[in-house]
Order: sequence, then C-alpha cells, then structure tokens
Amino acid sequence: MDIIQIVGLGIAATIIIAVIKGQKPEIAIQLSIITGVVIFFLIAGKFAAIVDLLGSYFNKADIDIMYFTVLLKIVGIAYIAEFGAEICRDAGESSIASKIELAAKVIIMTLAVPIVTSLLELVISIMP
Amino acid sequence: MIEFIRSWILNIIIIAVMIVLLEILIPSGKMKKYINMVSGIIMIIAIINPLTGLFAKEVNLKEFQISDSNYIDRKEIEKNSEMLERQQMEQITELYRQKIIKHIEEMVMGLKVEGVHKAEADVIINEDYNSQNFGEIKRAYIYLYTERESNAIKPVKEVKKVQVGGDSTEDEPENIMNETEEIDKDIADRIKRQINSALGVKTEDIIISLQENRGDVNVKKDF
Repeated sequence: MDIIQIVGLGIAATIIIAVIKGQKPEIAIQLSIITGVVIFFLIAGKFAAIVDLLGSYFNKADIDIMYFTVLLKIVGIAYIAEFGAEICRDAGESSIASKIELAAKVIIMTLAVPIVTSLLELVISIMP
Repeated sequence: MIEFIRSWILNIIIIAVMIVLLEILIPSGKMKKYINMVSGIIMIIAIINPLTGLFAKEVNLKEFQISDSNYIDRKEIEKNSEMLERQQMEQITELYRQKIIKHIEEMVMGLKVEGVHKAEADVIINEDYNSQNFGEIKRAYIYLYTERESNAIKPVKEVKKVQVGGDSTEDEPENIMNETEEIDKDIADRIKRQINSALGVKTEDIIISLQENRGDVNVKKDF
C-alpha cells in the first residue's frame, strides 16, 4: 500500500505544481523540493531495513565488513547528490547541479581510493 | 583444502549477490559508474584475497585501508587549516580525533579478542596547526571492557581500577589474575602492533588498560 501513498502524493504534488507554475514558479520549486524530501523519508525506513539485512549476510562472508560499509556510504552519497542535483536541474540551474555532482564524485573518490590502494597492496604482495 | 575452496566460493557468491542487490538500490544517474567501479574492486579483492595465503604471508588489508584513509583525512585537515579560522579549525581537529578514535575502536573490535565485549579509545593528537607534524597522534589510550564472568583475559599488572557504576567489589580471586597475565600481554602486543602499522603511533605511546564491567546500566543481558 505504500506505493499508492507515494504515487498519490507525487501525482497530487505534480498537479499542484502544474497549476501554480504559471503564476508563481518560485513556489513551485519549493513544493517539488518538499515532495522529494517527504518521499525520501517515507522510504528511508524500508531502505534501512534492507541494508541491515544485507549487512547481516555480508557478515557471514569472510571478507571485511568495512568494504560493505564503504560501499553503502558511497551509495548514500550518490543518492543524496543525485537528489540535490535533480532539484537544481529542475529549477533550471544545471551549472550548480553539475557542481554538486563534482563534489559528490570527489567525496566518493576519497572513500574509494583506500579500497583501490588496498587492492594494489594485495597485488604487490602476491608478486614474487 | 575442501574447506578453503568452500569458504572461497561462498565468499564470492555472497558478494556477487550483495552487489547485484545493491545495484537495484543505487540511483540511475551519473553516479552509477562510480559505484560499479568500487563494487568491482571489492569483488576482485574477494576473489584474489584467499590466494595471498598460498603465495605470500598473510596480508592485512584492513590495515592498509585504515592507514590510507587516515592519510587522506590528515592531508585534508592540513590543507584546510591554511584557509580556515581558528575556531573552525578546532572543530575540524575534534572531528578528526573522533574519526581516529572510531578507527581504533573498530580495529580493536575487529581483532575479536575473547572476552572483550567493548573497546573504547581516546587519543591525544598534535593540535598545533602551525607545526610541521600537525595531526600526528601523540598518545593513544585503549580501554577494553571485559565481561564480568569472563576469565578469558586477566588484567595486566598496571591495571588502573576505574570504578564503573560506583560499587566495585573486590570479589576477584587473585590466582586468576596471575594465570591470565600472559594472554593479555600477547593481545596487547597484537593490538599495539596493528595500531602502530596502521596509524603510525609509536608502540610505547599506546596505553592499553582493562576494565571489569561491574554490571552498570549499559550492560545488556541476554535472557
């Protein structure tokens, strides 16, 4: 039933935005931001539950849980960045959107580089 | 040999399934290729990691990872310190300190020492941001909390008895303490060596103490 709630909310917001846009485009943007945030929070609980379950299975594998945490952090950063960038792009500010994406890429890099270097170390240690 | 292959294959399968599931969750935009890159590298690590046991000595990947991310954090505040005001600087230094503390706690818990159910750490870092080795860890304190019933680990000679909850009772038979000293030294050495290689703290600057859990409010009891 959650999907009906969310779709209903989305369609209602879209209709309101379509009506308002002609007279007051600045309010339309705020409305779309709020709708996005509300939908985000509606699914946040489910998302957390899924991630918890996946994490418990990852524990069973012999590999370090740290890699999974890093992967999840990257997914989270990607989500938030996409969310912000889409809002900016909807409002017509695609240059700011691309800056947000740049920032997200750099932050993802700082998380990913230690994994890449540990792969390098692994390869170096295998080499005779 | 069968056991080795079994755990290897299990590893690969679990990680493959996880990555496929995660791929459903990730946003569809430009970020996708970065997530794919990282998950691919994790997959490669999972595939070749067991081989190191055959070819070379045991490699501790976690150590590399912690020391590298620590390096990135440190360089980052070093660069930022050139631009930021003093107060902001202090906040960032505090954040950095917390990060190191978390790393150390994770690392100690990752060793899975028997009988230890909680580890707390505290570090003193060089907070003088004009100095050359700003961000260097001067001293690290590690407190290991043991379960009350457990006698897998016995306290070291220099245990400082810290009263948790206020009602510490001397109900520990002394002979147990003597028996366990050696195990503890071994564990302490292991912890020290790991922290030394991961974060570059001198071993003599790492202080490890054991604390008995006196059944304070934080202890969860399994019924």
